[in-house]
Amino acid sequence: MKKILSILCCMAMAISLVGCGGNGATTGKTVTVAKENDVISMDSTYATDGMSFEVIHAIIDGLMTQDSDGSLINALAADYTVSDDELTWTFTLKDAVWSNGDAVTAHDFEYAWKRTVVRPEAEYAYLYGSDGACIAGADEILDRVWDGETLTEADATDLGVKALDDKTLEIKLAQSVPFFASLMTFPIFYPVNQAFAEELGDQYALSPDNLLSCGAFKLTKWEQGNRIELVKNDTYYDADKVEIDNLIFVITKEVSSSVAAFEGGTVDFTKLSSDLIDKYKDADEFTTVLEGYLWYLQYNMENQYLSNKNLRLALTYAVDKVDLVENVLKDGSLTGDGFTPSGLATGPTGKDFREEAGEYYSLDATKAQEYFAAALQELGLTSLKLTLLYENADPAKSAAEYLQSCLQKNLPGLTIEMDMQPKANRIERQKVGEFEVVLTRWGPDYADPTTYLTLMQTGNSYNYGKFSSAAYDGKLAEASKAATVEARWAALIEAEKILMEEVPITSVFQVGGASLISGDVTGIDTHAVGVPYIYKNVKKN
Amino acid sequence: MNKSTMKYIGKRLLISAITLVIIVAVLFLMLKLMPGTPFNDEKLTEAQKLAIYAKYGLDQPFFVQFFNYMKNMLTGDFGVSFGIVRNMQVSDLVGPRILISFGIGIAAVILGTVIGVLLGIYAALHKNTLADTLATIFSVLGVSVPSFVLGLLLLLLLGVTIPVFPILYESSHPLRSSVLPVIALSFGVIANVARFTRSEMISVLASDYIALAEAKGLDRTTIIRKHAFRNTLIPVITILGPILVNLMTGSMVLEQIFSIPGLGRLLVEGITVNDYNVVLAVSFLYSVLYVVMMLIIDISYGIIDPRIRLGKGD
Repeated sequence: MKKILSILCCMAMAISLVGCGGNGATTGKTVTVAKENDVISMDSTYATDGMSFEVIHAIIDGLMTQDSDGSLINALAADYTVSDDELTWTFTLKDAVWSNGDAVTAHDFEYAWKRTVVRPEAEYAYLYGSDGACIAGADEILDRVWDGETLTEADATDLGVKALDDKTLEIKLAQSVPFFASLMTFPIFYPVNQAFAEELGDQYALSPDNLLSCGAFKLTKWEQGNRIELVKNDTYYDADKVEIDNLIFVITKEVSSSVAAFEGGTVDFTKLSSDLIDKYKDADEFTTVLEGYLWYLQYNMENQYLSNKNLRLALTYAVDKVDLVENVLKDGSLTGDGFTPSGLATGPTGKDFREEAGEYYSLDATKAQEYFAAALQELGLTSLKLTLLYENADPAKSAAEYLQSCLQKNLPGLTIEMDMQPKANRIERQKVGEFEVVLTRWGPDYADPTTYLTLMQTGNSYNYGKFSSAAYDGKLAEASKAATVEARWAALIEAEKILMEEVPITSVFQVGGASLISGDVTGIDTHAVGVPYIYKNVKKN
Repeated sequence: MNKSTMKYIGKRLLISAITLVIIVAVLFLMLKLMPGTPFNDEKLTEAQKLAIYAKYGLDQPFFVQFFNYMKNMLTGDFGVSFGIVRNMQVSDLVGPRILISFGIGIAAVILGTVIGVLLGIYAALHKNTLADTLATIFSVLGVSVPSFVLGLLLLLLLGVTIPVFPILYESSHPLRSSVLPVIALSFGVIANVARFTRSEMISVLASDYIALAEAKGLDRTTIIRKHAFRNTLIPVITILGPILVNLMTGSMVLEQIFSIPGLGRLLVEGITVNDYNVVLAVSFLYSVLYVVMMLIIDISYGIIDPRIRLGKGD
């Protein structure tokens, strides 16, 4: 037995030595980030998830990007001009090259955009149409594609994008879009090298060899479900600003494993799960990031009880948002103060929309009970039972459980029945209007309050609660026709005020992410909209 | 091999092929009945969804889809992934993972069997002593403690406290990265094999032919090595088949803990995002393994013992 044990020990030691300093070794400054999800698509035309956005942005620049503080700055664009009618945007490009030596030209943008708009499986192509950038001709082409027509890039000649020469890109819009430049940070508007992509066909962007880089890093390894390795791109036009040599993503679904790897020093940045927050919240490495997702209670306005405004006000005043974010979620989430999250959009004064529009509603049990009594009287009831629809994953699950106890405590006579569903079912039930109260969320498509506010317009397909207000619709119309950015901004603030006073929704919280970051790593920039994490400015001591 | 054996094997092969077709059909149907689709993004409009279905042929009637899938499958085309890596060939996605899962599974079975057999024999030879009791306790623990608990324990001990092995799987160091998961997985095998070996050994040692060998004056080592050991192993080998398939297909939980890019995780992720083609391909692979294993066992029984070939005229 002893012999066997000693043989096993020797084997273990031998194996543990194998490969030390072997082919996996990287030179220079390396930052390793643990991620729960792998990249789903490296093709900017198809990517829809945050992780894909992050890695695509690390290797390919768009026209515009966000600085550390979230402000919009030029990326591949050297400069741009907007015509007086705001319908023609002309971008001139910097001198930049793809990693195969080709110059990055305006044609790469024209090709990429036409490629995206004709492909039905480009899920975010709607951002080209009137739900986003309003590029001239986009809606017509999208309608044909979604009607089942098979089109190619050559059929997209009517799309309002044109390379005037190698360095000049002209974009024509169907209507004025004040946030057009900020949309250019979204990967779906990034360039694609036509010759390279066409040569590879359906294998384009499926492996490191089948991708070109014109960004801060180059993709060298992509082992699906395990590891992504990037190295600094020396031919990047802004290579002087990139301080680290290697950026590595390790993919692990198990947060406790990535935290163990962080403790062991092999990972520099990891997210924390809610059960680990208490253990680490006082550690020096603890940090929180703010995400753009806003969770809110949506009321079915066609429901016989919830059409009563006093009832909706009672529910809204009974929610203790502060207790929820500070004592239940504890991950840096913010209280939901309106129908636009913090850090989403900056107005003409340079202030955040939320800061200017103010905070709506906070816990007031007395007011809540007064409104509840009034509602019960108007409805001819003595007590009330409502069903809360929510999904079976955090943070929705813990938040919904908290909301149930909080509402029942502050509104005696109210019973909240819980209806937990998988996310897909939750959305399906909302779509067909089979809900009373639902805890739901929305993530921004672009850095402007309208990405949220238009949801509540009469007839909007995401207006699941069927809220309708002529005053609100009018205010949004006023904003879209406003002569100046200042007037537009003011109209949007007023529109949100009308919405919040009508309470078709109760804003609950804006998602935060608790994380651990090594003391010697700085500059992992996080943003509430667009690309969630940007690594260009990462530094390691 | 005589004619009737060939005929028997032929019949078995045919049944296996039919079984696999039925399995794919049932899987196909079950996937279609699953709520949701691979394209669940809330922001997709109905028209856009329909256009995407058309692009991937998901708008076709069930039987057309099934027929196309079977047709492509026979040419080695398992379709593309929708939600794991958009548009990647499923074979490109599954291929690298097969090696990893098979490697770890087979290593765990070999390690577990060797230790298990030694432990079982040792316990049998020292029946009703302290060593036997300890071995039994170990076996009970091995069977009842889930591999992920052991995995986490090993991870803490040899990954964090004494950092000998990597915490997260590193494909550049597959050997080092596999040590802890292999040990964690082999525990169940050790326990099962040891228990089985012990009881077999005890019953073999009590049999008449061992008594005869002893009477003939053979020394104990020869009796155990030449007579008892071999006869103990035959039943042990029969339980190894299912264990082997089970471990080769990847332990989802251990893969999660050690972040091993294996088959188990791929299947579960495929199910969560409704990635039909990935789920089909991985489940099909599992089915093939089981069917082949059953086929081998059936045929080997048939060869060893002709009485198993039932049916007249064989």
